[in-house]
Amino acid sequence: MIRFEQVNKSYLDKPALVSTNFQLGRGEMAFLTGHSGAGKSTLLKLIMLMERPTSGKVIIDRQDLSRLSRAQVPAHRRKIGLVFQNHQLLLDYSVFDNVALPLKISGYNERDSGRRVRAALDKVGLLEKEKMFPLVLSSGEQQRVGIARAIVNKPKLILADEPTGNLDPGLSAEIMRLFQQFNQVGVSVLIASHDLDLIQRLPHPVIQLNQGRLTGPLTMAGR
Amino acid sequence: MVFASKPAHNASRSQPESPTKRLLREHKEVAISSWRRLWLTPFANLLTWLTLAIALTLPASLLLLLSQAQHVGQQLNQSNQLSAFLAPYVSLEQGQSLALQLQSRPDIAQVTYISAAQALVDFKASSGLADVLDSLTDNPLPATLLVEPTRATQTAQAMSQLAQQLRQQQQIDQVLVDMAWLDRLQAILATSQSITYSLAVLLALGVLLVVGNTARLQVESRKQEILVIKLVGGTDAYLRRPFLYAGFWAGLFASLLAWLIIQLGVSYLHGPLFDLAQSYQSDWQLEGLGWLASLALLTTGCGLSVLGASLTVGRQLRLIEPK
Repeated sequence: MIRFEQVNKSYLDKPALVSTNFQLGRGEMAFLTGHSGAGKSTLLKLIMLMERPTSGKVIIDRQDLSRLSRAQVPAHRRKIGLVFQNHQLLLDYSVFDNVALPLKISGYNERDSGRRVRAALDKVGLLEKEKMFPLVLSSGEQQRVGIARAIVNKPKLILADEPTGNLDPGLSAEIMRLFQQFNQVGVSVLIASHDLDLIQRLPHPVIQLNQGRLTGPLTMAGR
Repeated sequence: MVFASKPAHNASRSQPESPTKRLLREHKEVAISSWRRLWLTPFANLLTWLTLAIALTLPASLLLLLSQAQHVGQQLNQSNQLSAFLAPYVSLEQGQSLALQLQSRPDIAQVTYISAAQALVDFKASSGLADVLDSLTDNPLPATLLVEPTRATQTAQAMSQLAQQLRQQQQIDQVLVDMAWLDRLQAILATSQSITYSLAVLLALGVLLVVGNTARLQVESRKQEILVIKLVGGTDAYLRRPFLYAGFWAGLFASLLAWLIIQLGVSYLHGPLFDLAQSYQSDWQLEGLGWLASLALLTTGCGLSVLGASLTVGRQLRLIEPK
């Protein structure tokens, strides 16, 4: 699903990723970890085409990203569900409208979109809050709205950037369980997180980055 | 389940839309949502519309005045006469027979003979110089033929040609074609036209800038939304659409306001201008914008406004990239 081949990325001669090779197979779930500034965000940005690599190849779902023009970027992004640390919800949109945004962009009509939005909200347990606005929700609920928005388009790949960064351990475990459920129905999931306590209790490979380099073999805890 | 599609969903799924139908529906949705957005800040929008309306009103009303003044100019041109002053030795009979002779020409509609005595009486009456004229021993005025050419001859060129031919008559001393002021009028109209066109270009540029700046502020105020939409895969066309529609609505309201201002202005000026025209023995009346002109105003307003929005929005959207 994701393949990095000898990927380098530097910002003004400062290396952010160095000769990175890794692979996430279809339907696999993995964690990406490392201290802040280790290159986690850079790696995710390369996948989302928010940045282009200085050299090397990024291949997503058999598509070499270097071959995509600027105009093809939106279609690429629509294939990926993205979850942010600070959820990035639009505060003047209702919960329903926030989740419906990716469908609206893809041109769904209201009936189909309503059905899918409710299914996604049901999945994250927020069906009864669809008319509310993000600011009246708890931070755990806001994050779950963000997740509903990421999955509403039924993407094959979900990327999450510190999805539990602002949550207490109980809520974090709950959020991780959600990702595991999506993974069980065949979605590939890559989660950037530095919450090592949580990660080590879960049976998924861990990709560790240190100053832009992948360090050591991936821990394949209990797979 | 979100990902495993339920059979029930598939069964009830409506027919896929055709691309055209989908685009039309999307446009309809954006048109409606951008319309609703207008009324969130009605006062600010009204100010923008008024600014645009004034920028549209100025050139539009000048063009209106100009086109009607040109019409008047043509009318005046048509009611032209030649005055042929006869030589002093030409007698009353000779003058009258010359009048009859000229009358038979195909390019002349009518000739009126005014004797020297009659001319003096007329002049005394109209000039108020009766005392001065009475003190003169001789009548200083010549007999005159007022020559009215046929309609076909009433062009500047044909008139001067006719005057030339009349001058060659021995009995005619001098021919007066009072074309000079008409030429001047034409020159003034031509100048006004150039000024109006330059003003129209400048003000059109003004409309572009005002709309462009408004669109830029709108984009700026919705930056967060744009970033998120870009991240979830919104295309440039999708992002641009609401701003273009906002531009369209602004153009529509501005041109409607401009139309209203012009029609009100015309009805306000109609009376005084009619009186002015009457004093020149003209029954000319200032008319408002017709159907075609109104449509042209609306099209220009909306077109300029959408253009102004699209020129800035595209560039502005490129600057907002998720980091």
